[in-house]
Amino acid sequence: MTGAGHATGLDPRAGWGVWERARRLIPGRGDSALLLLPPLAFIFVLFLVPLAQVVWGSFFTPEFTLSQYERIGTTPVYLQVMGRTARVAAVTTALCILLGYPAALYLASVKPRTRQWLLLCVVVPFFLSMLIRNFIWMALLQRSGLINRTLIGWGVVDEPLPLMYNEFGMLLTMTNMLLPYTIFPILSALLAIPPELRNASASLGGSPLRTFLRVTLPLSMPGVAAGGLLVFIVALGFFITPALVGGPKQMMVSNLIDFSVREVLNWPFAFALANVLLWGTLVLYYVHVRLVESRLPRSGLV
Amino acid sequence: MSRRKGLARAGRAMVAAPGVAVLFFLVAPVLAVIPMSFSTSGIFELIPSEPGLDQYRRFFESPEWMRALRTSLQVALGTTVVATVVGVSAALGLARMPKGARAVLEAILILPRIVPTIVFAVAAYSVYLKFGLVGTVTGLVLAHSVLAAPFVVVFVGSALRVFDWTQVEASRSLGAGPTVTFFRVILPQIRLSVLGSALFAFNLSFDEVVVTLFISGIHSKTLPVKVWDAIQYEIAPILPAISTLVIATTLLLLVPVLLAARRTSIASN
Amino acid sequence: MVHIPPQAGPAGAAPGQRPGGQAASLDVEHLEKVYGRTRVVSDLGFSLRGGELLTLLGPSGSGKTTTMRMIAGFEEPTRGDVRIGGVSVVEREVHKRDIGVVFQQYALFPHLTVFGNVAYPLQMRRIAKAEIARRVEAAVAMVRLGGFEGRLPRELSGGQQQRVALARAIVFEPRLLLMDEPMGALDKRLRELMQVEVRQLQRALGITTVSVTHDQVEALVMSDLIAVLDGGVLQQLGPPLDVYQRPANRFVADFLGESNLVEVTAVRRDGESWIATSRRGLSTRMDAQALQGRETASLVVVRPENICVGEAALDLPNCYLAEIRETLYVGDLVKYRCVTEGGDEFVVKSLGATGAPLPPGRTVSIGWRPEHCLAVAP
Repeated sequence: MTGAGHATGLDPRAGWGVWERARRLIPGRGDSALLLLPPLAFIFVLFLVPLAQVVWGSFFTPEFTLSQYERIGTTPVYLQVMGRTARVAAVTTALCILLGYPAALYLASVKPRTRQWLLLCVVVPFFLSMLIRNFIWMALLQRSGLINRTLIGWGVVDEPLPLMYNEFGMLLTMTNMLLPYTIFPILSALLAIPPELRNASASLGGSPLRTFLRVTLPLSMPGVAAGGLLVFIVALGFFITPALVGGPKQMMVSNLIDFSVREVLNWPFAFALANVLLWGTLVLYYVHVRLVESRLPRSGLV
Repeated sequence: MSRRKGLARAGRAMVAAPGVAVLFFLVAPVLAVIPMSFSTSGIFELIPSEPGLDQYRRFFESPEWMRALRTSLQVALGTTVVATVVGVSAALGLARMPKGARAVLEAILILPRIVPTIVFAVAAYSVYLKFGLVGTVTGLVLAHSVLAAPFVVVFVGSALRVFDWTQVEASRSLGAGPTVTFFRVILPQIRLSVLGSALFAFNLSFDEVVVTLFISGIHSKTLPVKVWDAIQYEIAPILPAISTLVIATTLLLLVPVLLAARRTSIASN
Repeated sequence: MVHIPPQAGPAGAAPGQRPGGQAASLDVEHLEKVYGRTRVVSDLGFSLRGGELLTLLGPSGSGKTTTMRMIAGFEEPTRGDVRIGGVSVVEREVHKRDIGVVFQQYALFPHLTVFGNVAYPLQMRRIAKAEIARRVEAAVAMVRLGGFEGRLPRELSGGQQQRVALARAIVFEPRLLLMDEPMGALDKRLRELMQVEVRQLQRALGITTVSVTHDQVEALVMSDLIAVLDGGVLQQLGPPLDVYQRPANRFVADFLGESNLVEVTAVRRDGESWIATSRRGLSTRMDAQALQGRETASLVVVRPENICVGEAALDLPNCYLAEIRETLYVGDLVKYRCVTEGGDEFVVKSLGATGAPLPPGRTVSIGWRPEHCLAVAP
């Protein structure tokens, strides 16, 4: 690499420490590689290897077998759990979109200053411990909870309503937990629509309702799709709400996994379930990323 | 008022009403628990009939709860340090990578955020059993850091996106080595993002329950685990007080995070 | 614009200034940089004496910035050597090369004040606090920003930021100063002022300097030596006078100043001088010096400012009739685009003419001296 010789005897390379030698291993990107090595090793050892073990352990017990997956696919109880998981996730998604859209629409229509404060209503619960939030809903929904006692106290009903330990309570709570996941993307999409479009539509004879239906709504669809998909993905893997608010009769996949590991100690079965959940999630997430990359307009919100 | 204005007002109210209702739906439960925490009657009531600080007193005087709190704080502190170091290092490394490699490596580093927590919980548990890490603070710190690091990577990474890298060359030309350059040139400028993501990591670890349920032992219960037990076996009346305390801590930790986010988005705008 | 002629040595001493005798020389030998299959810099070599200023001049993509970055250490050469004061530095890390760099966008540290920025390299060298303060003040005074020490970069104008960048690069008395398009971000008036100022400063300090620019005026004004680059290859190396008045090839003739290029088919000797004939039959007399030894030349250059118009052209040995096709009044000069009978086109610059410029359509005499007609390589 060096051409003509050095004039004086001192070898500059003598000043190189371990760092400099290491950096030169990958020309041009040595610094970055060195910085990325510990984090990648960290994730690899503490995350990827255990995950690989789960995938492996579901097939090899210790010989290769598909019996665990067969069990999932043929036993009615387990199929019911899978079915419920998908159904609950789908309904939650629909609810989050139905409720999230008006909220996002309202937030998009107020002044930025006001919006900042109103967003706290979304952001603060979002960051708050999910366990605490579920507990609060339990305190609200249970037979002797706040809602029932208020209703009885006002004379609206005589008997406490079954608001918990059923699908209703679970859906209600899950929607509450997952609303921010639709509100943010839809709001982002709405804010990215140039205001002139609304003016253009009005000048062309469109009433506010028409403008909404034919301009705003279609343009915000990418946000709706992205947010909805995200809710679905997260809802599939939900654990706390089904466990606490849903109760033992509303088991979803994650609860089944928990049950297999901590109660029944059937590791291979748990691994198989986890594997199904894992790959389902990864595939759906990949779809989500492609969706966001291609069509969601950016407004710098999220 | 002209008819047009009146209609416009009505229209806006119609749009606003469901939106406001949904926002109320989101925030009301969180607010509701605060007055509930001042109830001393042992049942959940929105307006305490006999207000008092009973719940709080019982919480702070209970050795079990205090032990759980201490464990949670220890683990959260450890997680903050590990996740921030790992995350900042990764963000720095990613910032100068070419697009293709960067996307792939970033995806790998963000995986823990995408994979369902229950899957990681089971995976971690089975590995921890083999290495005797179940029930140890170290094990908890490591697992929580895996979950928190991706957020640090993304948050600090977005701050680095608007960073002028010729400053690094300038610093080197002026005689500063890589470490000095990091501490004196880069870090001061990403201070807010690092702080924000550190607080986020703390909050995440402090609240984490799914993975912790599996890998914490009887003697190393964190606060969320103890809350979970309390809920499972009987809803203890002191939970509203604990909830309020958690809300207060979250708000305390959240404000700097939000400020940092505003600052970086203003900078990039 | 004032061209400052080179002096024997730095005049006047500034505080902490290195006496001219200790200024480091710079030798670049067979320097080459290859990216994949593209050769960005090819076999570049030059020598710079201590205290001199060399400008790497060329269009974008010419490899001038890459060369500077290799000297600085931000890029590693594929081949070749760089020696400062006789010692090779190619293997050395950037922060150990003792070089001052002024970046195109200044790269000031936004979180540090002017004082903080300028003090930074001194802090790296673990100099005592009191001494740092003294040197920073001296450097800031030298770039005429005294009193600005407490300001942050975002509170300064572009010109002021440039001066801070300069102060920061020289405060630690480096052996070599590198400047990457230093005037690039300044407006025209400020640029002209700073060219002179920076040159004076460099002279006073006696720092060996390499400047990178695409602005040929800047190169001519500031340099002791100009290295003209195109496509990574050195086209010509020499003092401004040589490079401008005796360009080696078409590229240099075109890049510095304006030139009229005449394709020549025959060159024959005529007594003491030579006669070159263009494809269209235009014959011009050149003296031996102008020929630059190129007896088989195919290209001849005449600079527009060396062409006389009207009466003054009549006594010149090379005089031709031409019709003015276009007149451009630029205030201090007038540019004419003329075409001779044979069809050769010439741009003429007429300086300091009084009265109205000649209109298009008029036929005039244009002419030039034999020494102003240069043969260059294609």
